[in-house]
Amino acid sequence: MDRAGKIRISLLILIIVVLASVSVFGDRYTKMLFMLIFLYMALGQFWNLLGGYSGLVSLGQQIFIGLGGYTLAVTVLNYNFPIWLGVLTGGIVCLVFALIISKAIFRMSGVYFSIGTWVVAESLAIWFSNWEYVEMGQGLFIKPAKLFSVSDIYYLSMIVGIGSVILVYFLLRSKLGLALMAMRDNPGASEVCGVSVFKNKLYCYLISSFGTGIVAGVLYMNIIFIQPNQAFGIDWTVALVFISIIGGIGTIEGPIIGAVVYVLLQQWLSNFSSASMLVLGIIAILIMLILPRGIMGTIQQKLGFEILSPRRYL
Amino acid sequence: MNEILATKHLSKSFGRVQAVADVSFAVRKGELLGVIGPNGAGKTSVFNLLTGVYPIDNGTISFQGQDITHMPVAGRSTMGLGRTFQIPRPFTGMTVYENLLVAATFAGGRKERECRDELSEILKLTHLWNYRNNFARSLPLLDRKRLELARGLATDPQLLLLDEIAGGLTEAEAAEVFNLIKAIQHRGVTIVWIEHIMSMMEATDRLLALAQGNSIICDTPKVVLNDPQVLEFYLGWSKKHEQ
Repeated sequence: MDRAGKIRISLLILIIVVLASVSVFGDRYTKMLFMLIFLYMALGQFWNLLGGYSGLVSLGQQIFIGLGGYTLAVTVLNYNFPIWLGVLTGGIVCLVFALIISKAIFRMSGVYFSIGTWVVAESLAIWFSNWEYVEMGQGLFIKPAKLFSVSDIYYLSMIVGIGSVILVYFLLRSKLGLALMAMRDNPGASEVCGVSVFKNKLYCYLISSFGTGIVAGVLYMNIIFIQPNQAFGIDWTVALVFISIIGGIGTIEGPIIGAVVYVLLQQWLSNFSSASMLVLGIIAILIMLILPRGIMGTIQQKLGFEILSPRRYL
Repeated sequence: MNEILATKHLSKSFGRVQAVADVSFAVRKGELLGVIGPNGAGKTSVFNLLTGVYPIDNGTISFQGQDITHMPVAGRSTMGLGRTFQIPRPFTGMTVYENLLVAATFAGGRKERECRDELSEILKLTHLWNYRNNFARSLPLLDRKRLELARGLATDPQLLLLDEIAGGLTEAEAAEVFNLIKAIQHRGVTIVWIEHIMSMMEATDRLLALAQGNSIICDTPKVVLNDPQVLEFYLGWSKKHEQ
C-alpha cells in the first residue's frame, strides 16, 4: 500500500473511533442526531448511485424503504425471524422486487422513468393500505425491535452509514464504477467504448434497491412503527434528492455533506413544521442556482480536491 | 477481395427527411478510406448507422464477415469497430488515462494491469502523456481531438471511423493530426475518415463520395475528384458552368 493509502486507512480508523465514542459519551439526543445522519447518508449514497451515476433519477426510492421496513416487520412478527435476518430478508425482497419491475420501468427514460417509479411507490402504498395481512392502513408495531438499546441501534446505523460509503467507494473503483462514471459523463460515448448502458444501469438499480432495503430495516428498528402512507411516502425521496443536490450529485462525499446539512436543518426547522418543507425547497433552489454541482461538486471542480477519490492514476 | 466492412443499400429516414437514401460501399483491410460530401450528404449519419447509434431502416452491414446490421452499439465496439465524434465527447469527470481505460476495459475486454503499457504507448503517440492524470474537462480543443483518437485506439479497433477529426484546427495542428492518422494506419488499423480538408483527402488510399444520402463513387482520389457527378455535387462545379 502506498503512503496516501496508509493515511486514508488511518484517517478512516480515527473517524470510526471518534464516531463510536459518541455512543459512549454522547447524550440520547446527540446519538439520535448522529443516527439520523448515518441513515440518511446511506440512503443518499444509494440514491446518488442511481441519480448521480446512472442517470436514473428515481422518485420511487421509497418503494424499497417501505418494502424493507414491512419485510422486517412481517418476518419478525409473524415468523419469529431474528432481527438481523429480518433486515437481510428485507434487502433480498427489495432486490427481487427491483428485478421484477425493472423489465417495465427500464422501458422508460428521463422524466418518464421518474414518474414511473413514483407510480409504483404510490400503488404499493394503496395496496398495503388495503392488505389485511399487514393490518391495512393501521400499520404494524415492530415490538421485538424494542429490545435493542439506543446504543445498539446507533452502532448498527454507524455500520450501515460508513459501510455504504465504503461499498460505493469500492464499487466506483471496480470495473462497474468505471462504466458508471463514463455513463454519467456521456452515455452515448460510453456505449461506443463498449459499455452496455442497459446492463450496467440494471446492476446499479439492483445494488441500490438491496442497499436501501437493508438501511430501511435498520431505520425501522429505530422508528418501531410502520404504516403504508408514511413508509411509501414521497417525502423520503424528496429528502434524498435534497441531500444529493446540496452535497453534490455524482460524488461520494456529496451525500455525506448533504445528510449532515439536511438533518441539522430538519432539527432547526422542527419548530416550524408547516414551513419546514418550504424552507428546504427554497434552500435547494438557491443551491442549484449558486452551486449547480452542489457543495462537494463545486469544490472538486474549482480545486480538484477529492477526499474519497475513485481515481486511477498512471 | 480482402474486405473488412461492407454495406449494401443502407437507408435511414427521420420523419420526412431522408438522411441516408442508398449507400453501398466496401472497406479493404489496412486501407485509409476518405469520405467526402457536402453538408447534409449523410456522412455522419452513415457512421451512426455503422456503429449502431441509429437503428437502420433498410440494408445490411457486415463486419469481418459477420452480419452486424442489428447488433447493439457496445457489441460492435467489442468486435473491433471503433469511432470518434465530430464534436469531442470526452468523459469530462474522468482523467485522460481513465478515458482510455474505459475503452480498453470494455471494448478491448482487457484488465487494467494487462493494458497499462499499451495505454502508455497510445498516450505518448497522441502527445497526451503529460496530461494523463488531468481531468478531460481541462483539455483545450486540440487535445480533446487527440483524446478522441486515443480513446478510439484504446478500444483496440480493427476498423476506426474518424469523424472530422481535423475540423476546427489550425493548419499546423491539422497537419499534426494527419501524421498521427498515418501512424495509426501503419499500426495495422483500417481507417475510414470523414473530412472536408481536400489536401488531406487527396492523400488517402481511396475516396468515397456521398451526396444527398447516396454513394456516388468509391475509387482512388484522382478518379473521384475528377468525376463529373462529384464535381457537380461537392464542388458546385459542372460542365455547364464551364461552358
